[in-house]
Amino acid sequence: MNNKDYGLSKYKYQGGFETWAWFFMRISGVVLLLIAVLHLLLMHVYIQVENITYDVVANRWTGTWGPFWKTYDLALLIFALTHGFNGLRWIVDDYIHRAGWNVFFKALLLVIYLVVIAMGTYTVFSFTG
Amino acid sequence: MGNVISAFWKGVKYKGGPGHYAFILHRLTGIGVALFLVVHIMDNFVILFGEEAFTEVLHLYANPVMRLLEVFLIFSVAYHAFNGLRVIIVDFWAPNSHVQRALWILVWVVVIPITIVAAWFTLAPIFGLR
Repeated sequence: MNNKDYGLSKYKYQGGFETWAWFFMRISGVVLLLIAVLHLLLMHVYIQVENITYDVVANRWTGTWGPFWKTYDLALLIFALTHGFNGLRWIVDDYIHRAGWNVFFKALLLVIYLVVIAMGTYTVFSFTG
Repeated sequence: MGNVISAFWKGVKYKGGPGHYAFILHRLTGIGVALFLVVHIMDNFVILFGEEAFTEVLHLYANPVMRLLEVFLIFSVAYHAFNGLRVIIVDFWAPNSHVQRALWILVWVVVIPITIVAAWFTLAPIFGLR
């Protein structure tokens, strides 16, 4: 069997929202593999959760490298949350077929997504120590 | 509700071998990590209310049950990350079945050590080790 007979090669990219959503999951997935896994190694293995205090977080955000860590955490917030909620949206589409409930759950996800992303962004930007 | 259960059950019953188990675990770990993310952003938000409030929230993560969930979180992120990478490789390069099987094994070769290291760093203090 020729490689061209399966995999993505037989599909034509048509564009549109769903194609971009599909691409976004691959791209943000690779980005998150780097920044989320590094975040976990840093917080759970290098610093360790029992050593995380108010000062640890405050110093990181307000120290010399503050702008770097704020950017890092903001990237983590936006990529992880968008990736996660698009995944949840796909799950709703896969299992909830009745139009009313499908729209209801997706609207609910969108509201939670927007509220949580606003909370996270506000936390990063307004924290002064 | 019946429709939802039957759609879900169809997805579970489908006999797709390793790729199917990979898919189910990818979904479960994805849901778990997404739920934690929401909680995690809310706990971070509390830092705006000052040191005392934030310290109280951090203490919630200190009990043994939460430490166990922490190991599960690290496993979930590691599995989701490396299985996701496997999915990307299979999507774009369509390797033959031998390579696909090797990739599936490779996911576990990476994820199991990460989980063991995470479990050691996370759980050892509970037992007075380390």
